[in-house]
Amino acid sequence: MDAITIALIGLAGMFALMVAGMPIGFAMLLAGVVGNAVILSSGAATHLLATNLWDQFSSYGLSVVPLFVLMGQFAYRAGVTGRLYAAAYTWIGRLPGGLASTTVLASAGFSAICGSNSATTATMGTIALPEMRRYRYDPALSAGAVAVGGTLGVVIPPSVVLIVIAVQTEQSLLRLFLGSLVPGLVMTALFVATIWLMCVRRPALGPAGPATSWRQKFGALSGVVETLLLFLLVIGGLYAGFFTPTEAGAAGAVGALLIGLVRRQLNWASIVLSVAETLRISAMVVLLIAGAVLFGRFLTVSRLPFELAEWAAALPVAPSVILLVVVLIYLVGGALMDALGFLVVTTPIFFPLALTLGYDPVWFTVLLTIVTTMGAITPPVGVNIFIVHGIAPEIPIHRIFRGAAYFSAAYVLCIAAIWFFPDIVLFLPRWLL
Amino acid sequence: MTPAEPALLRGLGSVTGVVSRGLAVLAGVALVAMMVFTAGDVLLRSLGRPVAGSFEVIGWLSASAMALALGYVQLHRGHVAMTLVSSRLTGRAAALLDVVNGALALALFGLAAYHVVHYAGVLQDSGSLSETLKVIVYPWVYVLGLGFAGLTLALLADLAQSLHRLLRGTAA
Repeated sequence: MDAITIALIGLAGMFALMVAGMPIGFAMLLAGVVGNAVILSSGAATHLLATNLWDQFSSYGLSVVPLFVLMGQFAYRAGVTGRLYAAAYTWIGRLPGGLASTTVLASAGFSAICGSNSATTATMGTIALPEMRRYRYDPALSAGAVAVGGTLGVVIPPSVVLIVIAVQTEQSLLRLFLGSLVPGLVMTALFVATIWLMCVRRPALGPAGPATSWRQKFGALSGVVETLLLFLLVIGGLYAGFFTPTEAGAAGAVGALLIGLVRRQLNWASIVLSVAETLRISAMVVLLIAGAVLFGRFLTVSRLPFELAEWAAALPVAPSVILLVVVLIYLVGGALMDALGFLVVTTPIFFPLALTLGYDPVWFTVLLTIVTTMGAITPPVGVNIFIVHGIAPEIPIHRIFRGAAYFSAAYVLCIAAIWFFPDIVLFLPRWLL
Repeated sequence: MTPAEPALLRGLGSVTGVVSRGLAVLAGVALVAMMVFTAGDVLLRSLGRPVAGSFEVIGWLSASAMALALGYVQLHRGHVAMTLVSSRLTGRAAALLDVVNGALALALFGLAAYHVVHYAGVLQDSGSLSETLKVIVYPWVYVLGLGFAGLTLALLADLAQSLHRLLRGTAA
């Protein structure tokens, strides 16, 4: 049996294990070990297993993951989200659908200091859903706004998904962060525009809130200052070359901790909770990456990604057609699997293909991250939908899916804009770096 | 845990809980130490007194934090999985799938723990030192092995539960 056949069997076996419910990181590690044992030898496979686990777990590059997650956890428990929400509400609450737009803007703000899809959704849902219920917002629109707002957590830097892909593909994290910033803001603007258009046409969906004075508006900005400072500390420090990404994460975590302590919102119990939650998320992510790297080595030894790239490059079709197929695969894959899991599994296969086709790695990564993130709000898995349902069980799941579907056009517009105008992603890294 | 569970199963569950939480406390200490050390390093560097080889220390603390939390993550079912098909199964079918998945995972991480500890032993015997600080690395590799042993123990407790459910014919 040739190596390519072994790789294809390995891929099929790995997906079978995943479908059977085995955790994604476990399935990739298992397929990697068995695949390497078949192609190389059992001794080489077990040695690779041990050295790969040590290399990944002790990687300085990966130490950025727990520190950024810790920053988000401290910020969440320090009440940053509530103040962001209050500030956004005083500015745009009186517009049609103002509370839903506030939810999206506050999600974007929280995404600037928290890189997690589910954390952003859960945090914002807890604050925003009761408010929107109080003002008699349409439940589908309210739930949809929370669910799509959560997806910004993965796109607006710092993003755990981008950190993982940067490590996996050996790209500059700063380039990815800068590349995803404008698309994240474009997505935010499109979501707000969607809400505004819907509520102008059907005011009952999101009644306007009470007017606020300029004094109240400017007074509320104090709630944004701490988030802005943290974001500037982390991204500014990275850009100025003062920090490595790991150091930026540590500085951000210490900054968020200090904010919580100064505001007396963090106590011993909430600090312990933040640390426990960080360990739970980060250990899962690092094991996922260790699995992906070992599985990627198996694929590399088999030469499958290179053969696939050469085969696709030789096809008598334009590269954009091949890319469109890849985008559709990610769209379906993201709907079936956790976004991070699917990206990690498929990157060893499709990243070399994109490079062979001549696409910019930063542009390709940002595009596919957004496409895959859509999966968090589409059936059948839709992680964010289930999180929102967990917070507001009185809203049926199908109504939450429908609420999120209101924003499909915004997603498609954003993806099309990135596709046809790559500078949306590339101009900031080119200009600043 | 239900009263109908055998004492052995309950005992294994209790031991696993205590060990996983104990290792998670150590993981938390390593995480906070990493945050403080990294931020302190930035501060010292800005004062013109950088810590040599800090990236090695940060990597070791990160490895300890992540590895020692693995059992705790398993205890809370925190490893991300695709449950589209498996969540639709009930009764013996679900228990059987859990047993197969659990047995494979137990074998994988038992093997991983053994070979990581073996790798640590090789580094110890060869007197291998880190590249920058020139200090021994193997104790940290043993910590990694301990983390995977913790995960293996948590998987063993889960497998025992799944087997129990399979034999009794009930779902999770």
